[in-house]
Amino acid sequence: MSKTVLIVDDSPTIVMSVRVTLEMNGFRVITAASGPVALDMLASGTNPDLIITDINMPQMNGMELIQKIRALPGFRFTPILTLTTESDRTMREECRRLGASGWLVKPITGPDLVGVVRQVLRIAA
Amino acid sequence: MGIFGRIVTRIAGPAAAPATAAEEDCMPIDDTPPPPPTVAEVQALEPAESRFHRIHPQTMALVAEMTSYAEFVAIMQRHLTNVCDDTQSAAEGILGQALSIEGSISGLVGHVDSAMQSDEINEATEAMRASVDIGRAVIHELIDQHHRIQREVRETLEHVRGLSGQMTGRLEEIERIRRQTDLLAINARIHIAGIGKNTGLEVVADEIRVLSTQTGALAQNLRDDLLRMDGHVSDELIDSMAAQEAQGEARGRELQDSFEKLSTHMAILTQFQAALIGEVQSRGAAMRDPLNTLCGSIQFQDVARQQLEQVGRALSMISDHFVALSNAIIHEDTPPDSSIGSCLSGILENYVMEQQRAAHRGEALATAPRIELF
Repeated sequence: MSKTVLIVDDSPTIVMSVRVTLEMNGFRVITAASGPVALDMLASGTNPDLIITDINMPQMNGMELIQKIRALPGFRFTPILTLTTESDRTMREECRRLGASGWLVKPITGPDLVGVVRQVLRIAA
Repeated sequence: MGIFGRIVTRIAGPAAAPATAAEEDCMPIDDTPPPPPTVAEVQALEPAESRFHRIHPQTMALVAEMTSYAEFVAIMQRHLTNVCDDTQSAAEGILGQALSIEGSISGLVGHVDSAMQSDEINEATEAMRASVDIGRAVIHELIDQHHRIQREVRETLEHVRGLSGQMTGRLEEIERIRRQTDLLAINARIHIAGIGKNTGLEVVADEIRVLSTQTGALAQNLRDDLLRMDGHVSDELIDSMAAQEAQGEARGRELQDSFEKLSTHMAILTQFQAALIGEVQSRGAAMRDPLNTLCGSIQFQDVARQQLEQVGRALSMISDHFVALSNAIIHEDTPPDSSIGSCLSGILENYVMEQQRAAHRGEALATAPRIELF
């Protein structure tokens, strides 16, 4: 059964790019255009195997989203990757402290993205 | 609200509430201001005795320049918005095409794979292979049977010819006996003539002569039959049989060769089928790699969009600074406590990319890890 990945990003280009890349490689993809929408999805029973979130988003930034996801029951150990243009080291460390599993800088190539996702989900290539 | 709109508001009515920092952050770059009035329009708003007439004309000209800068910012922001919208639309189009291509490739690979390995194809291939094997076996059997019959017929004909030769020898024996019987009949007649008539021997002599005649006629009939039989079982017939046998054998070999070729071609077809499936799968996989790369590369649009948005925010920041300066001149407001230099520092602090920071400082781009798992 294919693994499900939730993408949270306000950029339609990133959402579509990541969705197409992952779907081409056998993953099931669901998307949310903002943090609150993602939280609603998770609270209403959506249970992805991996979450990929942007950091700089309106309404709720990625760090706040990570914090809120970790507070939800059943999502303490769900891997969360950040996919962002943000390169500030302090912010990177803060994300790690909040429970992110990894930090990816945009743009990331398709093979790199798929490789990281497989690595995080422990899927053989 | 645009920069000049704010100036006019301050001139014509109560001041509008300034935008909060959060609002500034979320402010879309297409938040274009209303078209700014000209300097003449500004001056037309002023009563004749207002303080504007006390402001030095060169200062008013500077305010007008700053007003023009607000218009410039508005136009630039509209351009940036257009660039963002167009590139986003193009990126979505490219990704859509990539998805479509990937779908077509996957469909083609799946179709070829399932078609080539379908039960119908496999069953048909197996049935053809079995038919070829059966046909080849039947051909072998028919050729053997043909050889055997031809050989038996030839042997039978040669045996008949041998028997015919033996019977000719027997006929000569019969002929010799007939001649002796004739002599016996003649001797009997001579002997009867010596001892006189009515001895009863004449009857015996006549019977012997009749027997001899009948034997001769029988021998002649047999000879005629043998001649006719020999006429049928001639050398030509045997040669013709041999020729037919050779011809049949050649045809059999041709048929056999055809079946062998059919079998070989079927094996080639099977290999070709396997190679085709492998090639389609391989090329399908090879097409996925560039598509994967393309999908990742297209993210540059989002990176560029964020950079353009920050350029737009920087322009707005400078424009706001000019608004504050203009209001300080026109309304004797407190001049802004920040300078253009501090605006630039603020812009630098708001960058999210190393690339932007490096460009701002005029430095070479520092290489930070792009993938880091915690």
